[in-house]
Amino acid sequence: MTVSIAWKNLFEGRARFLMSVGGVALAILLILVLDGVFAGAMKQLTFYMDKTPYDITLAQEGVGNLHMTSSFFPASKAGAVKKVRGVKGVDSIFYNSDYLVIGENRSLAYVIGYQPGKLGGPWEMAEGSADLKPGEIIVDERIADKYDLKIGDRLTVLGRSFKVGGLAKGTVNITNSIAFVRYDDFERARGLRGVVSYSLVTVKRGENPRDVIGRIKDEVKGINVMTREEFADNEKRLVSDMAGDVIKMMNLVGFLIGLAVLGLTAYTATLSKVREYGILKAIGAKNRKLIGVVFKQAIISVVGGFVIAVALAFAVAFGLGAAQAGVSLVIGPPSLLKVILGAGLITILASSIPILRIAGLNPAEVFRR
Amino acid sequence: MEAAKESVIEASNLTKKYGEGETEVTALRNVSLEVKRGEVVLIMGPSGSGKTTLLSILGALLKPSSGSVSLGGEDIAVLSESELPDVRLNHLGFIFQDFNLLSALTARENVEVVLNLAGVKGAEARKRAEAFLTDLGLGERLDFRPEKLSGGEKQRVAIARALANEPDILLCDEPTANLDSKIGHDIIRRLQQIAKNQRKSVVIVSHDARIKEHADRVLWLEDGEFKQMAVMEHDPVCEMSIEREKAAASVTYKDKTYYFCSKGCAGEFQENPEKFIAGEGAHAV
Ligand SMILES: Nc1ncnc2c1ncn2[C@@H]1O[C@H](COP(=O)(O)OP(=O)(O)OP(=O)(O)O)[C@@H](O)[C@H]1O
Ligand SMILES: [Mg+2]
Repeated sequence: MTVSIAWKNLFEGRARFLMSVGGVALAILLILVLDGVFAGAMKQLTFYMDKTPYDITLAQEGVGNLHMTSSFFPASKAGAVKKVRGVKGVDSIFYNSDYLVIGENRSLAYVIGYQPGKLGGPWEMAEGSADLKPGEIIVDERIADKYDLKIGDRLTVLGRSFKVGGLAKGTVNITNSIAFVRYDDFERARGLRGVVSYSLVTVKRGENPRDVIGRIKDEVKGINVMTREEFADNEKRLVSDMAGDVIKMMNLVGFLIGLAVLGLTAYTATLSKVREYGILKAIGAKNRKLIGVVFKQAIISVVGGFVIAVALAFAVAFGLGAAQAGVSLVIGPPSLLKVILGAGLITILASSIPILRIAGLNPAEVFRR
Repeated sequence: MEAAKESVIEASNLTKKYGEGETEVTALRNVSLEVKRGEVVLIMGPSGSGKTTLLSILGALLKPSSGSVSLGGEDIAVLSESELPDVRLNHLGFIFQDFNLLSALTARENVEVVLNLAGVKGAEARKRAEAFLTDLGLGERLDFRPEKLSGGEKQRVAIARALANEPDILLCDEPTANLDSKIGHDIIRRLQQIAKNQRKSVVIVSHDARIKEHADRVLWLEDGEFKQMAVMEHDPVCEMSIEREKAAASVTYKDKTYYFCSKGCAGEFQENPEKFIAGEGAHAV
C-alpha cells in the first residue's frame, strides 16, 4: 500500500469531485435512458411479430412491414402457398391503421382482423376471451383504463361501431396500440372481397423456413415473402431510420456534457495543484507517476459516475416496468458497451490537457515564488 | 577524523546563462564549491546574485551552461533528464521557503509519499515516516494536515520529508524567511544538529545574517561570483560561531589554532585548554 495522492486530492476537493462524478453520471444517464427508451420502443414496436408463433410472412409485393403502409394481395395466392411443400399452415389477417373513436377521444391503433382460433390474434388477454363474437373488438387493457372502457362498452373504428369483447395485454407502444376484430367483420367494414393483407405461414417440423421461402418464391409470384424476423427488422429499421439521427444527436450531446464537465473539473483540479506536482517532481517523482495521479483521478470520477448512472438507469427501467407505464426502458449490452467506450474516451480526452501541463512542468520552478 | 574531510558534493567552474542574445543573463560565472560531509555551508548575497540558480544546479534541477557537479563521485551535470529524478530522490533533500507540503496529505503522509516514491511501501514506510517526525518533535502531529500546523511545524515536516530517503545533502532555500525569528532559529539549530549528528551536508541560502553563527562556512555570492569567504570558527569556551577574520583573539595550542569571540574567552581557555578541547571533542561526535 502506498499513499494515494489521487484519492487524497479528490477527497480534499470534494465539491469538485462530486461535481465531476455528477456530471459524468448525468451524461451517461442521458445516453442510457435515451437509448433505453428507444430500445424499449423498438421492442414494443415488433411485439406483434415477436409474440405470434409463425415462421414466414406474406405481404403485397413491395411491402415489407406494417407501419405506415397498407398491404393487400389476392387470397388465392395465400391458398397457393398452402400447397407448397413444407408449409404447414397459412393464416391470413387484415391490417389497417385507424383511430379508435371512444366518445370524444381518438386513439391511434393498428387494427388487425383475425380469425378466432387461428394465428394473428392477441397473445395474452387481461380480461375476456380471444374468441371474438361478431361485432366485438379487443383493445389493450391500458387503452381501456385510459378511456374508462369496460367490456360491453362501444367504440367506433373502421367506420363501424364495435362492442368491447375483451382486453388484451402488452400491445401498447409509444405511438399506438393494437385492436383486434374478427376477420369477417373487417372484410365487411372495408368492403373487401378475395384479398388479404398479410398471411402468417408456419412450416412443418424439421423444415427450414429459408428453404420453404425459396420454394414459395418459385411457385407463387407477385407477393413479398420474408421470414418473421425480416418482417420485424423492416419494421424496426423504418423507425430507427427516422429516430436514428435524433438519437445520435442526443448521444453526442451526452458525450459532450460528460467531456465538458470532466474536462473542466480535471483541468481546474490539476491547475490548483500545479505547484504541488512541481514539488513532487523536484523531490524526485517521475512524470509517469504524476501522470498516473491525474489519470487515476479522472478514472475514479468516471467510474463513479458510470456506476451511479447505470444503477439509476436500471432503477428507472425497473420503476417503469413496475408502473406498467407506456414507456419502457431496455438497457442492452450494445448500449452499455457504447457508454463504456464513450466514458473511456472522455477519461482520456479530459485528462490529456492536464497531463500535458504536468509533463511540461519544470521542477526548477519550485524555488521560484 | 578523515571522514570529516570527505567531499560530498563538488561543483567546479559552474557557469549558468539564461536566455539568448539581447536577453542573455549570466546568473553564475565560473563558480566552484565543495561541501564536506557534516558541513553546514551558508550562502548569502544580494537579490539576483544567483543563489537560487546555484542551489538548483547543485540539486539536479537545473543544468549548468558549463562546469560539472560531482555528487558521490558522479557528474550529475551530464546525466540525462530521465536519470535526474532518481538522483534527486535518493541523494538530495530539499527544504523550501514556503514549506511546500502537499495540502491534501497529513504530516505523516507527506513523508510517506517520498518513501513510496523510493520503493518503500506500506507499514514500513509508515513506521519510518513516524520515526522521522517523532525525532523532530512532531509525534503528536502525525495525522494533522498542513493547514492545521504552525509554520515551524510545517518546516519540520519538510525537514522530515527531506531526510526520509537518507540523502547525503540537504539544500535549503531561505528556510527561515517565512518564520518568526525564534522559530527560524529553532529550524536552523535542528539543521545544524542533523549535520553534526547524522553527518549530512547542509547548504543554506539565506538573507538572514543570524544563521552565520550556525554555519561552518559562509559564502558571499554577488553578480554570480563568490566574493570573499568567511571561515566560521567555533569559540570553544562560549560555543559561539564566529568569523575567523572577525575573531577578537586567537590561541595556538598543540599545533591547532583556536579563535575566540572575546579576550575574556581566550583568557579562560588559556587557563585550562584541555577542559574546553575535551568538551569540543565530545560535541563533535
Ligand atoms: N528562469 C530564468 N530565466 C531568466 N533569467 C533568470 C531565470 N532565473 C533566474 N534568472 C536571473 O538570474 C539571476 C539570478 O537569479 P537567482 O534567482 O538565482 O537569484 P537569487 O540570488 O536567488 O535572488 P533572490 O535573493 O532574489 O532569490 C537574476 O538576474 C535572475 O533574474
Ligand atoms: Mg532566490
